[in-house]
Amino acid sequence: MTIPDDVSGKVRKPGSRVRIRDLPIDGHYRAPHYVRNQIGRIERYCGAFPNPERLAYGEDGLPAVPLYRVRFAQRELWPGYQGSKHDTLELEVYEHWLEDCPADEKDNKDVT
Amino acid sequence: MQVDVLSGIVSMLVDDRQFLGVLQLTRRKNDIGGGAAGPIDRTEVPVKHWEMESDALRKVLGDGKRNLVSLDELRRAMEDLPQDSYDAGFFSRRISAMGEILIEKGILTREELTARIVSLTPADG
Amino acid sequence: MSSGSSEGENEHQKPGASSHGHTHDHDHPVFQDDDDVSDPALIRYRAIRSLLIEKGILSADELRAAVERMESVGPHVGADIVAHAWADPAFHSRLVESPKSAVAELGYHVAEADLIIVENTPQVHNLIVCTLCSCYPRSILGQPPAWYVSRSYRTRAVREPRSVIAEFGLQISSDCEVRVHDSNADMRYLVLPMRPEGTDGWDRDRLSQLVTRDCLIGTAVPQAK
Repeated sequence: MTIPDDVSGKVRKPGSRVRIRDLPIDGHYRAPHYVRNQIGRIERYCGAFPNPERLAYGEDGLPAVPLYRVRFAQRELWPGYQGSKHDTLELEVYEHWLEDCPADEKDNKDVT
Repeated sequence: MQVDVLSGIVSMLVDDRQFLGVLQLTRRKNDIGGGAAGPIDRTEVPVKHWEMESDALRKVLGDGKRNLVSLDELRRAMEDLPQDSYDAGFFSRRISAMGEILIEKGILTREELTARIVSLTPADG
Repeated sequence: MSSGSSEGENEHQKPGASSHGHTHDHDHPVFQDDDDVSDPALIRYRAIRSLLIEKGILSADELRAAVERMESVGPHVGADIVAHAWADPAFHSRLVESPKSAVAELGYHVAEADLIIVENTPQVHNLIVCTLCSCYPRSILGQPPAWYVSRSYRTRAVREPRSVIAEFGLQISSDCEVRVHDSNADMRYLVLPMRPEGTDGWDRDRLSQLVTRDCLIGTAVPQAK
């Protein structure tokens, strides 16, 4: 996978902790509410893609936005989760929805 | 937009009590992951010919030659539909949204689309 | 659970295939047996289609060609990909490493930005959903089942995947991780199920018969009969 010049060197590493932001976007978005303010770990970098939240309004979506797979522990996402403590959920998150999450904050221990 | 926001809130409250008191004004009507819902209807429903063709129409309209209706625009337009149109079924909301984008881009006018729908509607229907 | 083999393949009469083989651009309303002529969505579709053709935005032949391309794919494509991966360890590695080019070796074209293969193991069972809309690897699997795009599945699969899977008649042991993939953006996902025991020596064609559409989504696993 080719990494565009403007994001290479800044790509988040697999395993690093991130928090999903709760941006007050009024309109189309690709970050569902159930992951907002939740902490997960980068699973992989998927490449950079035109921003779908701008493409949705007929714009070109450029510059391309880095896209990641982020993994969450299910029991952290859902209070009272009925399932194994090992269960996980992954979804794709664009860079503008991500912020670094210091290690001393609430950890998602079972997510590696 | 006002109506959409209100109906979104109402459906959230109905969907899931955990959202009570946390009114998310920017939550869109398609953003339903994690709520409560009933059993899944696993009935196999064959895709009708017109439904397949309407998907093909979107593809042709979005190809490099025309570049008229992208999948992202289609999703946004589906989310902007009134709740009853959104809930009218998968292919129904897609074709409604496609019409809205074509009107938005000046390819069709609402008047001619409405007139054509009237002329194609069976008299008994 | 019915297999996916009847879905989207040759079930519909191809427009224009029956009565006239000549090529032309004027619009033929094609009334199919499964069309309910009073369905408002169908009427809206016909209205849009006829106006676009009259305005020269597209031709009926272009539409016909697009439908034919779509009808050539389906769950059988996914089953073929899985059978190749089961039968050929080298292909299996290439498929997991670079899915798009591996699939292209078999003559299939992934039109979406990228495909990710999520592999079931004794330790991990994968389940695919799209909560925000209905993302699905259509360019290889065709149209998703109605339940996949339903409000109930989209709502529940992320929060209670085990009870959803159980509704499909499948139990996942508690020491096996259930990993849900919310297909919410540019990637598309295909589950690579585990090859059932008792299938040693089976050829690819026989193996592919075990792989139903639901096995490729994660609501079923292949069973050797």
